[in-house]
Amino acid sequence: MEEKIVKTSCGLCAPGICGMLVHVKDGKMTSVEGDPDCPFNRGALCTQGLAAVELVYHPDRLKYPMKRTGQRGEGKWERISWDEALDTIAEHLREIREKYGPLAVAVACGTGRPGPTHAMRRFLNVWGTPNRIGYPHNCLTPRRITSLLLYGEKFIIPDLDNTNCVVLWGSNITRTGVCRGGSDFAHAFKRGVKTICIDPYQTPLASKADIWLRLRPGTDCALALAWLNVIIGENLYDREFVKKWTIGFDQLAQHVKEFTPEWAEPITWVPANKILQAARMFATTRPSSIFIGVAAQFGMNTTHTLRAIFSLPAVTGDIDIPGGQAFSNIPKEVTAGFGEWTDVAPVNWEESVGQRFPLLILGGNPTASHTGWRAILYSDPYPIRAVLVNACNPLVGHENARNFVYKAMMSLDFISVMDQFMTPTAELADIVLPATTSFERDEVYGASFSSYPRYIAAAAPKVIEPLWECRNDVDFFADVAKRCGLDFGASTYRELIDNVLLKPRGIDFEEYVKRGWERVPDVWKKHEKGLLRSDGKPGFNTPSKKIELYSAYLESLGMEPLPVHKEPLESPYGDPELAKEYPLVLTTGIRSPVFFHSQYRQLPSLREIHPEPIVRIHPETAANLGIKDGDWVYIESPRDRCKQKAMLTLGIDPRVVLAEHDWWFPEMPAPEHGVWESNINMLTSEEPPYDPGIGSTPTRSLLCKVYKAEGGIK
Amino acid sequence: MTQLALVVDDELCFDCKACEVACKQENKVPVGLRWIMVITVGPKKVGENLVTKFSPKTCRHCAKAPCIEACPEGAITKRADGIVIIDENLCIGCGDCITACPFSVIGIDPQKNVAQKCTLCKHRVEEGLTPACVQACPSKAIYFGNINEISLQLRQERAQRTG
Repeated sequence: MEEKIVKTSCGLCAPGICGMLVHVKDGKMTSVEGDPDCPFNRGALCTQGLAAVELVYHPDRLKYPMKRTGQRGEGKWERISWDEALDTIAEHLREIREKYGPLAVAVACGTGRPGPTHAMRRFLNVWGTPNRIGYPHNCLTPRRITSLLLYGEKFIIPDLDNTNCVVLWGSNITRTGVCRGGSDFAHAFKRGVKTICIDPYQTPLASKADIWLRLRPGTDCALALAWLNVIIGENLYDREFVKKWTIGFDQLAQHVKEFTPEWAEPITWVPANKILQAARMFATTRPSSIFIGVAAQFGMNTTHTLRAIFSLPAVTGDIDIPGGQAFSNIPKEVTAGFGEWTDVAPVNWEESVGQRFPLLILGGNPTASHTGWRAILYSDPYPIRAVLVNACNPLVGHENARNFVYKAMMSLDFISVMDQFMTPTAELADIVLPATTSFERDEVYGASFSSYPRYIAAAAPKVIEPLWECRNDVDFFADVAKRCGLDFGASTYRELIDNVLLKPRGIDFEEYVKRGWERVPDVWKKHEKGLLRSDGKPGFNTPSKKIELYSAYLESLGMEPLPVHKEPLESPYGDPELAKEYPLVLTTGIRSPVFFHSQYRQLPSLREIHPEPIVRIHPETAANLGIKDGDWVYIESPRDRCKQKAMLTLGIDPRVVLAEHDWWFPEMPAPEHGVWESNINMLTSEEPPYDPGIGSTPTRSLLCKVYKAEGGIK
Repeated sequence: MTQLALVVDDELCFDCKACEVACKQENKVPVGLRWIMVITVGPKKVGENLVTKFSPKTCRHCAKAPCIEACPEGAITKRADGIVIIDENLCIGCGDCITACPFSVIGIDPQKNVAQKCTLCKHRVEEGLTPACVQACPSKAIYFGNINEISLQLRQERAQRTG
């Protein structure tokens, strides 16, 4: 009997940087615990990490490559060898390239893990297509883009360890992201930090905040403008800082004069006195910081919304100081290897199907989901005929799932899907491939993500050998590239880590593992020290060398140079006619503590905690509709409808309902697995309005009606 | 007297459910039974405010445990360290302990038909470790130890927070 404890990293969600100790007996994982030495999770794990053993040995995991034998989506499969699977894929890709050119091939990816993300980019580069269908328009990327525009830096993140006031702007981190700052925030909360929570729903975090602003979904920009009005109007800003380090302050001050709390009240549904109180607390409890979640990014006005929010710490001068908004200090040598390797023969982003969104290109991946599926369905702006789907479930995750994404997928010439489970998306594939979990491959993680200003990195060695015939995504791309006669530059993931990432730094993998968590020391006020610019001079890495409160670049693109509020088009005020039929504001996507988007609904100990999709409704609204707590209801938008279970709560405005995202039911019969039962993305829209720069879609502020359903789900 | 116990600082519980899953994995608790469970009370309207509380509920290992009195088979005992234990071999699954428990934290294992509840991870405690839920909690809201020592610690930490 051999027993050991392997020190590795979790990998069950995107950052993958929660230190984990895995107990192994006779080559089998028996239990996991958080690594107390890891500065990130400090020994804690979230529900998903804790259920890792259930995931790894789940009987329903995909075990072998399979090919479709019936019609697409019919659910008829035959086991094949890896060689046959890879040969088939390469053959189809080559055929499509001959017929339509390289741009007709795309990949689709979900929230990436480091290796696969780099591999995917390298593959696209050597293949010659920029088309990586994903969610860059709504997820992390808008934050990077707008931060770049203002500060010249991709990440501007709160230093929760030292802050005295933290604004949680559309974020529920303590419940949904131990590894995205939840643990850090809890520690800050414990030492008595002031908290302001901005959320349409009373999340656990909102219930504990000093101030909770229950805003109308889609009006974040108006709220931020009103804060700027208060802070500038009441002289609560840092005069010296704005003079020295920003441009456009005077224009901004002039611009926000009319956006008083009284102006914002009818727009945001937040009382003016509360707006005033919150803005004052933020500006006077220094150092203060903002933790921004994804919620404010899902809109048709994302660029302005984020620029308005990110302007706040510039005005109060809480920039790159302990307890303020920090710039990450990712050491160049840590990431240089992967960067050069992935960006060999870089593709022309201007050729992407997402080309019409000029700012999205700055974020490094311009293929918003809706532009990808549009190209597939309508050859607009040109055809895409094959998609390699890796760790992605667009049938539940992308806008207008049934009437748009499903139709697009069904129209493709070729689809391969690599995943850990047979998802509704995988059921539409020609070839299905079994993917390893993070415990079955060597990994290198590094992150300076959304809450932690210090870069930390570590090697995460594999814990067990790959189960069944599972393989990792990097090896898959290496094999496909080889069969297509392309130079992938590595034949396995481990080779990539060794030769590309570690060799230039003069260490090998085993040494890196022994070194443990690599934490970069804090360096503050980098703009004063010349650490942000390539010329080594003080200032910011922007064209003006200053924080650009006024953006000449946006102006050159025909967008407003200062942030402006825009009423969501599908809203009670944006479309009063439509609101007669669909009177409720629908916001979607509240996170569950036990799922990561569409993942982990198969794991018994997690599903037990959250067995069914829940839509939150105010009791008064429910009473008017004859809906009782626990009733199954239809939620219907102008696109489609789905069923979720009503939970009556005072924690939401009577005019708003909040539905959960990414629901499918692994236990329901193949090939649909209940994908059309409760899937809220059937109701979201792939059509304009988009944010003109980023292509964001307003999936969090739409209109709907709700009515009682006859029965539950099938 | 030693009385080992868990005390929860509800102000620090954010309803993340990590304690539930940690317990489940550690003790192989079957689906349908939860030795520890985070309960939400609210939101309730109190004046102008909406008040919501979250708290993981589990066995209190009472000093005078009503379940011990209620068990007709003498299957429930209190150890010298204060942990209240159900002996599965003696349990007949009658459920009298369930009705006796003022906190409703005892359940019946659907496979074995015996009463089960939190053991305070006695197998871990005996090795000098903390219970699984305590270790997993991201905000360190669950305190473990001798009850008088924890209450002192809690008093000090709350005073730090409220000033």
